[in-house]
Amino acid sequence: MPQEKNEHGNPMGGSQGVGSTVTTRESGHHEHQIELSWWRRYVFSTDHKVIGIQYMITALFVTLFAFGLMVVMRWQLSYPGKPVPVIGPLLTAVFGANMAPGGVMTPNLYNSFGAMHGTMMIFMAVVPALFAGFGNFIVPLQLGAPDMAFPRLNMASFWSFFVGVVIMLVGFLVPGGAAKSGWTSYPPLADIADTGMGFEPILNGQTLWLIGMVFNITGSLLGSINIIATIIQLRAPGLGWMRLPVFVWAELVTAFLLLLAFPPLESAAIMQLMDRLFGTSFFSPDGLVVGGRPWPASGGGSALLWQHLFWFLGHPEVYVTILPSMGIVGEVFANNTRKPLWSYKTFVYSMLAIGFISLLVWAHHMYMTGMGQSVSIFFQVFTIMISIPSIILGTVLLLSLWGGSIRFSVPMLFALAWLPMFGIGGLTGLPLGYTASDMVLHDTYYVIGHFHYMMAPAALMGLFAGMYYWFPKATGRMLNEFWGKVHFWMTIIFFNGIFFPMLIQGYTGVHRRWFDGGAGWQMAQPVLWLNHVMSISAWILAIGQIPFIINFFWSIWRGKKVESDNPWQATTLEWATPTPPGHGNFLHPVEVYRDAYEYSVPGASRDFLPQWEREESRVAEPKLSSA
Amino acid sequence: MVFLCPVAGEEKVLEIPKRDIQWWSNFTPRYSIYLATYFTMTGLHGLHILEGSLVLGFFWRLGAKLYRTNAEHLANRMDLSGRF
Ligand code: HEM
Ligand SMILES: [Cu+2]
Repeated sequence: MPQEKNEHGNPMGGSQGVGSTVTTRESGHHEHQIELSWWRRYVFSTDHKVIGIQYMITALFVTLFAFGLMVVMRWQLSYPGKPVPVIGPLLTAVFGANMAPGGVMTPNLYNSFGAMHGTMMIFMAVVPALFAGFGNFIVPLQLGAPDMAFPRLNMASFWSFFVGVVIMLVGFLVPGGAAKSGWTSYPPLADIADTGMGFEPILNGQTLWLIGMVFNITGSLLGSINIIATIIQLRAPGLGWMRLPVFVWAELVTAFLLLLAFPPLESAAIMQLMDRLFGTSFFSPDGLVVGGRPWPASGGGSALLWQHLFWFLGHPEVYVTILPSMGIVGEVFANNTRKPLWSYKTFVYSMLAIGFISLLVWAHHMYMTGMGQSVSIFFQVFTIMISIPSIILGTVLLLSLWGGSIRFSVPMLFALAWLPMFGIGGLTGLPLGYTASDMVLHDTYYVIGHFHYMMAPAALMGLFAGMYYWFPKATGRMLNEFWGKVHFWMTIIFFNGIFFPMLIQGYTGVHRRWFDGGAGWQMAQPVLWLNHVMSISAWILAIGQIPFIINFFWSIWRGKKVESDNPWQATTLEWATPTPPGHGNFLHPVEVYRDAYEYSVPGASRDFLPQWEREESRVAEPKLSSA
Repeated sequence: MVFLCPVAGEEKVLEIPKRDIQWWSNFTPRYSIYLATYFTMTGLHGLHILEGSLVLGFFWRLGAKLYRTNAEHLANRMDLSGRF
């Protein structure tokens, strides 16, 4: 019986109400209730829901911050060399006259904003929000578990992640500014960046980037172990593998990817740290000359080694961003089409296939490094192969719509929009997957367009869908529907306004990293006006998030209260808990009697049969159990 | 450092200031990939030992109370910390 194995003493919700008391195994086998201090309850909490919310809030803050960096960069691209309006003086004040004289972005500032935008978005915003935020909050609930398998480890992973974020942010304040070598930190550039005159030996951008990453990775590893153990060990009785909600499957695959792919980057980060702090040359080649002087290290290292170690993580990492979002979309689709997913098993097997193949494609980011044909062909084959399960997955979702009585609720709008965005992202990946076409497209805005379609419109659409969908469970109140729709339309339109022109510019060869275009822009004259389209879209997108932010805070305290524990008439276990769930989650031990998405079962009196109901209950609506 | 230059007839002392001299050695991580690997690994191992000693130290002193109240619980904890 999985329940009896849980760490947390009392198997099924010893306490009622909202996390005010907790049952712990303080001494041996008998348990007693203790009042937790405010600090232990909300800050150093071991409750998976609190940790999930902590992850989510931190990640949303980072998202906003990293988005802000990009908004400033877009100014530079539209109006090169002109002082940034409104926040120009702030830039000068914070980063000094060296970095932003008179509010104008310098190349160094631009580079550091670019590198930090990528790093923070991927490692500290999207993944923590989707994988760790929703993962912590929802997975134990969907499993019918009272908490994660290792609650303390869970706290450790959050705090490790948090320290990582703080260290990254400190990077902006040290002399010379934050890391500037791209989110990929390729050596030898990253080995020599931020060293020498005017830089501190440890408190410089690139070194802090590495230290921050080490903390962040440690947190991710602990978190993924926890998710895996929870899913394997703490499933409610009757919750067989093929009855798991798709979100749980997505989290399981993601956790395995993190667990397998992150250690190489962690060791690589430590090796680069050694290169920078102790002058080793793991990644610096022979005969490196910097600023006219020979680099004082033996050389003999391999810059390509870093690229392999980085992309061995980097590629699985991009699936880490999209898989949880796929899972959320699957949940929302089933709930809002009021019918089971068109083929649950196909969905699950495709995710497993994606997870597995994504470990075999990393060098498609390195076609231009001259690795030799047989290697290229290997990676080319697997890269094209991975699009098969991706397409199958999209098809499953598309067919799920067929014949459904669709509810166009806000989460569903976001989920519906996810589908074409994922489609565009996937299809634009194909030309990159073939070496022949990648030769011309590599390092252009086309690549930026491709992956942003996946990471921004797709992954973030999933994030918003989940947010609107699960908000009532976390707070007991609904997000406002009207403002949700405003937010949706602003987001979907202007996301496309930013990213579609990138594909066009990329086709004409606009380079992805140049800060004022340089000579390259001479040849790209016909598409330069698109810079304005993109920048203006980015600024309107920023304005479009204001309704969401206000809606979010307003609804926490003032939103419409939910009338039942299951406001969306859903079938999965998280809706069997009180609203919001107290410490220990469930009031009664739950058992699972049926598959995850039994919607519109012929002959049933309601159009949904929750997993936790043995017989079809005669009550029309489950009442609020915590009221 | 001081060099004597044997130029015919005269002796001139050539002085090289210390800061102009670079210290190279085959036996430091900076100039040898082998030792770079060696010191990285032993250094990490050192950190690992340090961390383990801290945890064990905690159980030795601060955690000792638990031994008297509930030895089994302490054993479980030691087991877990050993595993991570
Ligand atoms: C259908 C499947 C996909 C294929 C065939 C594909 C192919 C590729 C290829 C070949 C590149 C390297 C381009 C270059 O640098 O020249 C690339 C870049 C990238 N892809 Fe994809 N991709 C796919 C799906 C995805 C997904 C699902 C995501 C994320 C959620 C993603 C995120 C990225 C990122 C972040 C980069 C760029 C990294 C960088 O250079 O900064 N891709 N893709
Ligand atoms: Cu890739």
